Amino acid sequence: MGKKILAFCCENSSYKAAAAVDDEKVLEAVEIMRLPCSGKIEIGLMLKCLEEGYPGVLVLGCPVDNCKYLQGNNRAKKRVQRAQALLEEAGIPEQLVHIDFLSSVDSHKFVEIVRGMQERIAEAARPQTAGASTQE
Amino acid sequence: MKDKQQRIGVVLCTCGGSLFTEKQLERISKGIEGKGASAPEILIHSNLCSSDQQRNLVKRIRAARMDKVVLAACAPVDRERLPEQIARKAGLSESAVYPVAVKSIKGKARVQRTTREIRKAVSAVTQIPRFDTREITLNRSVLVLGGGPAGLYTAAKLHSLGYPTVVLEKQQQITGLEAVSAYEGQGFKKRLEGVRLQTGSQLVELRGQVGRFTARVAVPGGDEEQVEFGALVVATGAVLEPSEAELYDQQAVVPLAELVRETENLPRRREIRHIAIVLDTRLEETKASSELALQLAVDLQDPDQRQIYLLCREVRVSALGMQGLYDRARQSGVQVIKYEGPLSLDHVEGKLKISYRDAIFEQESELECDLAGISPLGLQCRADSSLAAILGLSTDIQGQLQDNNIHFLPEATNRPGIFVAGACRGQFYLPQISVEAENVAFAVDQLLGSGTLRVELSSPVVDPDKCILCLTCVRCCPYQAMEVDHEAGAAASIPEVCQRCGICAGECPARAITLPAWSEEVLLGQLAGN
Repeated sequence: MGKKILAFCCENSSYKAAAAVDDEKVLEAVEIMRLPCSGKIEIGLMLKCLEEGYPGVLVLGCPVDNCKYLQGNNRAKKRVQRAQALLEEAGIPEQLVHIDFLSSVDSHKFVEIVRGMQERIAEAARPQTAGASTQE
Repeated sequence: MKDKQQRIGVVLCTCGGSLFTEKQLERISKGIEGKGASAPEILIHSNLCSSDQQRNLVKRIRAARMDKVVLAACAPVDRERLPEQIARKAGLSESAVYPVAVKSIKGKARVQRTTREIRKAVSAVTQIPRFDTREITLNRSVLVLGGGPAGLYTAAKLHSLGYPTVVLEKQQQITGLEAVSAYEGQGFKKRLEGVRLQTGSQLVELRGQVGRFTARVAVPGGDEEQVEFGALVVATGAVLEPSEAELYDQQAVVPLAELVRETENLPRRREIRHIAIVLDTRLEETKASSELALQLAVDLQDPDQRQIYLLCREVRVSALGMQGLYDRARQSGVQVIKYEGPLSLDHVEGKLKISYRDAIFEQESELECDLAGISPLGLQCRADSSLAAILGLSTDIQGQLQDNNIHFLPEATNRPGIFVAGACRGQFYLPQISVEAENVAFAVDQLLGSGTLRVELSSPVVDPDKCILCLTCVRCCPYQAMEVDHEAGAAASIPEVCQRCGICAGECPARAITLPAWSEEVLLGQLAGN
């Protein structure tokens, strides 16, 4: 069994949303990691997870203006963007790292996000997609 | 690093037996024991929501001499500070009790997922270091900024609760005394006896943190004074913006706060008077103004005398009691109109005509009324931008002294120990202000009441070898919980202020900061275990 998508979930919102998900296929595809706040995610950790063979990294925080720690979700967003820029620089598809925002009751959204991530990963794995691996 | 000797316990509350069957419990227990010699001890518990069973659990944790506990129970474990309380009573540090809300795990593979979550929690709790606690002595005096209604109400309540209270007022007289006395009766002045009211004074600088603030205060005569206090209440009020003041110059257009008085001044006639309450004229407003508007609407609506219209772009009811308030307004006959685009007020034949575009019917509409109350959210605290900077408070988009964030209780700010009340956070309605001020006083009481604060030393740790004092953490901490430790030559977190969100740890460009309970080892350890 290959490694799953890692979903770093804020324990105040998306972690709760994930708990209430009842879609086995989605749950099998994703490993849920609890964070005190999406703002805790580190660029290094995201990259390390990809390096260790996890197919994709999701960072899931609270909706805008709803972060329990005020700025955590905004900070996380900037960090994910930075990680994406670093990936692009290294010639790795940037969509392997993705951030989204959902509240604790948005279980349906969690399912959508994971499915979207699966598609993105599949797309990244397809050879010769536009713009990919021009550096090699 | 891992302490081999520690005893890990898993408390599984079965919610009165309704959560899992005997067989499922067996499967979970087996799954938790899993591989590895350091199997955690499993306590099957029930009805943890009752205080009896909480006491019972504390006894069981003590009897089993557990060092760390995974508290797997229904939803209350992540609310109402239950894990912290149990930790405290069981003589453990707060981080030693790790909650897992098992009841919220749904779906067919529920048992399997519950087992996984608990195993991850066991892995995490095993890795989390043991933390010491520190007891901090708190200064019990309180400084209130602003002698308006909010400040006076708060000061009176604080005084009655036994806190030495000082009120600083920028102007030469106590501005709110007249308004509050008119509303409460002359007896109110008595309630202020014993409160130090200092006019012509202004806060210039604030240092320290919760429980131990020091302020420099400019006093009359050009002198400065040093004041020490444990909590700060900001009730500086708001100032009218000129553009909005022009709007109020129109006849029959008044700020919301004056609507009640103006309604009483309307000439009495047989027919029903039509009164409009208008929100969101300039920008989308906050829940505070919705609350004020709804409260006013309920109070003024009278089917025999007055018809109230509430015009707004959005009805904001996502706060405690607001849905009920909205329902009451509707039931009493208040008409709520959602509009979009610009709204204009004109005088036509002695009446006030409000033109707007109805957002529901999607058509241009007009409303004739006798009186309109406009929300004072054009009221921005012009002095506050500098005050917010002095106090280190974050503001909302209208420059009011409280973030527009649902997690804030009305009185809280981003800085522990600093509270807001009244118009500086968008509350203009006197009855509401009096309630709010009491809440603030109770919040202060809760904070300072015991005179000490017990803090777990689990806030972020900075590696002085890696820290280059770039001040990123100092700037990005939403709570001002990072400071510069000049002796160590590195940044340092202030445990009593820190909320353990980990933003600084994520942000540090030198990766010098670790949030011990959520370090990379703790996170990756959970992955390895599964």
